[in-house]
Amino acid sequence: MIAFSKRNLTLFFNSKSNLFFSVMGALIAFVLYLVFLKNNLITSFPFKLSHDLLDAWVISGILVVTAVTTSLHALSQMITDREQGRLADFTVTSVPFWQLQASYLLCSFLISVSMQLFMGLIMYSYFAVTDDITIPWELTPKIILLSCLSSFVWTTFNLLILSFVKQVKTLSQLGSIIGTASGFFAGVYMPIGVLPKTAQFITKLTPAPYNAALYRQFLLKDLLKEQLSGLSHVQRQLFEKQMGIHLSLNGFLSSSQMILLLGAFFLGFTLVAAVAMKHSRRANLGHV
Amino acid sequence: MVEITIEALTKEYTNKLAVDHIDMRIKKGDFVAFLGPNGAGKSTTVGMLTGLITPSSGSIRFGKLKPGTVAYHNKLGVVFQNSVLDNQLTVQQNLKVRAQMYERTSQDVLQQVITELGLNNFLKQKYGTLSGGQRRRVDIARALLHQPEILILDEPSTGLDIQTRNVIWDTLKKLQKTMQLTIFLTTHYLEETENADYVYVIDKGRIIAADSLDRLKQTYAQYHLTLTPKDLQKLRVQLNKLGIAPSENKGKLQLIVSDSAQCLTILQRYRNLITDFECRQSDMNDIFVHLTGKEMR
Repeated sequence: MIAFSKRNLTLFFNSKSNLFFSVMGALIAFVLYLVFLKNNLITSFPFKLSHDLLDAWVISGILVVTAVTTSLHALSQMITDREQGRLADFTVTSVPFWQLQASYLLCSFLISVSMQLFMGLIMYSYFAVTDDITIPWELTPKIILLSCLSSFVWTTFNLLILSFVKQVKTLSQLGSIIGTASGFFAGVYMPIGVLPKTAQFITKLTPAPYNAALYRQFLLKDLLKEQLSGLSHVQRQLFEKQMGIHLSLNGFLSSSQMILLLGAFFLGFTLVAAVAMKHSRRANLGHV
Repeated sequence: MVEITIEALTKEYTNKLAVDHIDMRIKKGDFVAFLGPNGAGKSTTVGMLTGLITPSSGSIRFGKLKPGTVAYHNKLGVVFQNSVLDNQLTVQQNLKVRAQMYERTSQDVLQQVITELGLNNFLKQKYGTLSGGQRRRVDIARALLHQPEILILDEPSTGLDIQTRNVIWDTLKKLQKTMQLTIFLTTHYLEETENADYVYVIDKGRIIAADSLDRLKQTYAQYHLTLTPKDLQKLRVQLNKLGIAPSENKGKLQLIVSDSAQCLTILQRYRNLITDFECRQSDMNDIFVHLTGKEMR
């Protein structure tokens, strides 16, 4: 299983196009933010918002997009291997079939975590140069833990989605759809508060806004304290709700409640994916 | 000594009976050819032999082992119809990854296989950049990494030029001897079955012939006699009198006779009407057409 996992990781990290396309959704969001989203946000609030606060806000959302798209891209190797007959070849080795499947999941998890950390570092470094922000190194352990939780959730989500995919040619279309949708659901292209009620409701049916809110709570905590101290409690709550920093679901959700919610999504996706895959997976190998 | 026993093996899909109660006994060290026209059930049988397709009924036994188990996989090497190694990795990386996925393998075996198959010159090259023949050699090396006792090859030389095919077949014959391999192959090229110790012919999911090549030839032996006549009409009338209806092709008469004695009789009787002749015994191609009524290629 170790050799197989090494192979999966090598295939992902050795391919420049793989690396680029896996974070394309995140890069598009980043560029859009630089080009106009940032200015839109600055002008849309009646009080002054600092660059470092907005930068950390957008980084949070983009990290969620990264978690979604990179785990999808990594897990797609499973479909490619199946369609091109490689999985059949691996199946006739001494490695049991369940270990092969577990390895795809493990690699997707590892790739997603490392790409989140990589993208976080790149974006913080960029803003450190352009906006003179301070990189919050002290948050590293928290970010690592949250990136692990994100990767768990999104890996199982993508496993569920891919259990319905049989052909490699579907993968690129699916990648574009999920990449774009994740940007909206994580509230990167526009804050969740701007969306109509129905859209907000639909968004909250996915793990994306909770995942993004958790990142925002971690990355913006001190910045919010420093910079919004002049606002009233109501004003601050409204701002945090508008920007998707706090989410309400019959009242404001605490960080631990959101972590539990993400855990529930993880379990739900795992169960449904397991049922969806049970009949189709191994049975189709011989037709490759 | 029987190595693999296949009994009443059947695979039924929703609307199709792909393999219908086939029986095979494959002896240790034998080179077995498995022939059949497209859609006959060859790939489904190979799928079941490799444990990738679950049979609807029947059994495959290799000693006490059954397909789909790790112990069975350890004794089985498979060369798939398509190249299944990673194009982005080098030959060496590919072989190393696959070798590490087996319980029984070593650096020595890896090196031996690389040398046997002559891969040293392109070990560091990416698999995706190799020629068709080079790829097939790597594929065969990959199938031998764990020193299997049986090697299954699913149409391994399809799409290769004649020189490459010959190299591959020479290598396989050598491996059969040096590694005491049992080889089971499906092929589209009937001349390749000339190397086989035993031949199974499958059509519409059923085994329609199973014998050694020599005995198949004896059973279905016919002679193809081509005569170049001095006077075509006259010779045709004479042959018709014997109850033979020859076909005509480019001024020559072609007839099929049952044995060499009949061949000689015709030649002696009509030697004054013939300027030249050609006589050849049925090959596997003719036997195949005779059995299935279909051309392979």
